[in-house]
Order: sequence, then C-alpha cells, then structure tokens
Amino acid sequence: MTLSTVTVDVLDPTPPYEQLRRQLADLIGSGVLAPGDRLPPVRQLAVDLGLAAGTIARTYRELERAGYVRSRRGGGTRVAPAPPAIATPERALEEAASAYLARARVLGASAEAALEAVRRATRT
Amino acid sequence: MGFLVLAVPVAVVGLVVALLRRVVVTVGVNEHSGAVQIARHTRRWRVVGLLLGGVAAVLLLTLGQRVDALGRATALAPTVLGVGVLLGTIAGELTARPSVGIRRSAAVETRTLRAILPRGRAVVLAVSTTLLGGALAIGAAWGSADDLGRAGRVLSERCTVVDPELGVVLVGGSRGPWPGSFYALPLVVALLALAGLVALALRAIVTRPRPELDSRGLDTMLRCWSVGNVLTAATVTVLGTLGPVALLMVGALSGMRCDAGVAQTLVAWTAAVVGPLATGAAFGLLAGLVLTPTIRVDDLPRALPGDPAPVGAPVR
Repeated sequence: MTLSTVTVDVLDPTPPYEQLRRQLADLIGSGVLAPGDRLPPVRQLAVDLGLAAGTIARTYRELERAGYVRSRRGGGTRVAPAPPAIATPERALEEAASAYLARARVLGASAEAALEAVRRATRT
Repeated sequence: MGFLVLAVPVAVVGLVVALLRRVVVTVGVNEHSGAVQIARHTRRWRVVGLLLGGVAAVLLLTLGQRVDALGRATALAPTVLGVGVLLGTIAGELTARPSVGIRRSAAVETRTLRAILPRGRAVVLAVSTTLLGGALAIGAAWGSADDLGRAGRVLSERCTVVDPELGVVLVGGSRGPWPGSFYALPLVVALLALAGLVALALRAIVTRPRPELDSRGLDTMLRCWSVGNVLTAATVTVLGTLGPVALLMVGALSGMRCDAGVAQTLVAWTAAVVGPLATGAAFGLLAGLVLTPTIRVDDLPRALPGDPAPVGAPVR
C-alpha cells in the first residue's frame, strides 16, 4: 500500500489550510483515499506538520463543506461515501501545473524557465 | 530467606535474557537524524526518571519505617519506582520535537496504540495485574482487625480442637501482618494513580510528532520500544508489589493452628509459588528496563582493504 502524504510550504503565499485542502481533495477525488478511509486526527496532523490545530480544523471544515469528508464526534473524520470525483490523477496534475505556471508568471519567469526549473528539481 | 533464594535465580535469568536479547540498531552517520535525536532525547528522560524513581524507592525501603512503622510507606516503593520511569517517559515524549523546515510533510495515516502495542508484554502485565488484584481481594476479604482495632491487618482464626487431656478446646488467635484492607487500600490507590500515568504515557507516545518521512519505519520502532518500556515499568511495579504481598500471605497462612480449609491451602500454595517468581521476575524486568533497546550511530566507517588511508601507509 502506497503511503499518501501531504506537504506544506510555509513560504508559499497560499495559506497552509488551502494547500492542505487542495492536496487532500486531490487524494480523495482521484480515489487514492477511498470512501470510509479515516483522515489523521486534527492534533496529529498539526504536530506532524508543525502547524496550529486550528489550521487543520479549518482544512477539514472546508473539505466537509465541499462534501469530501464527514466528521463525527468521537468517530474522527472519514472520507464521505460519495465524494465529488472531480479529479482524475491526470486532471489533478494539470491543475497543479497550471497553478505552478501562474505562480511563475507572477515571479516574471517564462514558461520555458519554469519547465527548466522543474527539470532541475527532478534531478536533485 | 528461602523466599529470596528462590527469587534470585529468576532475577539472574531475567538479567541474562535482557543482556542477550538487547536490541541495538545501527544507522549511518547522516541517516535518520531526526529519529536519532528523538531516540536520544526520550532515552535521556527515561533514564533520569528511572534514576530518580530508583533513589526514591530505595529511600522508601530504608526510611519508610520511620514514616509508617507498620510498613504501608515501604510497600509503596515499587510504585514509586514505576512512577519515576513513567514520569520520565511522559516528559521525554512530550518535549521531543523534531526540527521542522520550510517544506513540511506528513503521512495521511491515523496512528493507533494497537499498531505499536507489544502483545506479549501487554499479556504479561494483564496476568500480573489480575494476580495482584486477586491477592489483594482475598487479603481484604479474609483480613480482620488487630488488637488495636486496625481493620484488615491480621488474619484471625477460631476453631475447636480435641485435646486428649482437656477435651474439646476453643482455639483462636491472629497472625499478621496480613495484606488485608489496611495495606490493600493505599496500594490500590497508588496503583490506580500508576494506571493513570500509564494511560498518559501511552497517549504521549502515540501523539508525539513524527520526524522526517524517510524515518517512518524507525520512528514506528521507537514508539514500539517506548510502549514496551512503559508496560515493563508497570509490570515491574505490579510484580514488585505482588511478591511481598504473596510472602505475607504465605507467612500468615503457614503458621495457623486450626486446620486449613481447601481455599486457604490453595491460596497458601499458590502464594508460595507466585511470591518468589514475581519478585525474581520484577528484578529481571528491571534489568530489562535498564538495558532498553537503543540506536547506535555508526559514525566511524571502517577502512576497507585498498582504501587510501588519510595518513601513513594504505590499509592492506
């Protein structure tokens, strides 16, 4: 079984809760996390990522509002029985690439420079 | 004295087993630095707790009679030792913080106690606790007040015997100290407090933050070791209490003047077997608590034949 992970970049202008929300939505929407799978407890994920518990709680609230997860007192947060299946892994990758290119444009970098940066990153 | 003669071999066997089965995991100098840091930190705190608990237990054993001449303070020595280890473990796990960088990753997983619980040690603790609970319950049920009215401190007997000269004679008396409610109540309160600390320690171990994701396997092993140490500390306390309790039972039951019933005979024989075993096992497990698994950092790799030596002639 492949271990699913989430990553937060604290220097990224996107708020940490939104970074997490997007990654978890991708994991659920692409079927990596199946309906009924349990998400980590808020405090566990908070200490592992060195973030405030409120940040993780907000992520879970946003996911619940969008129908990805269900929270139950005492039962933790689980993937909803029928989450929105908006993203295949390819679609999620395309969205991530679009977001990356948009950020590169903000930094004044061309698409070629952005691709070159990706190639350099894959070599390290 | 015979009691100790039986207990010592068991303790020696425990020490030898702890020495032979000691786990040492070797990692490279630049590998798993976060996990190694956490391992050292938690180990340091646990050793401090063990030392402080040990000193407090020895003080209770030697000076406890001054606090309470009837031995109730002395009886708490094993519990104090266990409390020391557990407090050290809790402090270490709660203050262990892996360094976090700008990019932080975490596994989407739910950590549970069940996944890191050493089943064998949990069973040993459960059996020991059941035996101690049974011994204290029997002690409380059969105990009587002593001549000064202290409830549950002696074992009283009363029966009629046929004397060849005097005929039917009423025989009665009391033997003590007996582990009745007089001793059982403080012990139960102390052991309940210990159980609370065990729960806190297990929670602290499960909720401790993970170091880098590459060290996930090593980190899970560290948690498993820590849970094992917590269970061992609790077992040492329970067995260290059970041994003397069984000894007191044997002492009181073996000198009775009335004919012992089936239940009393059964309890006396069971206590005679369990007492030395429990005391010896407590000392043996204590050795295991000192010689806990550890991580060794292999920071001086050996030169291979043909490798250029930094100074002098090459190694051949």
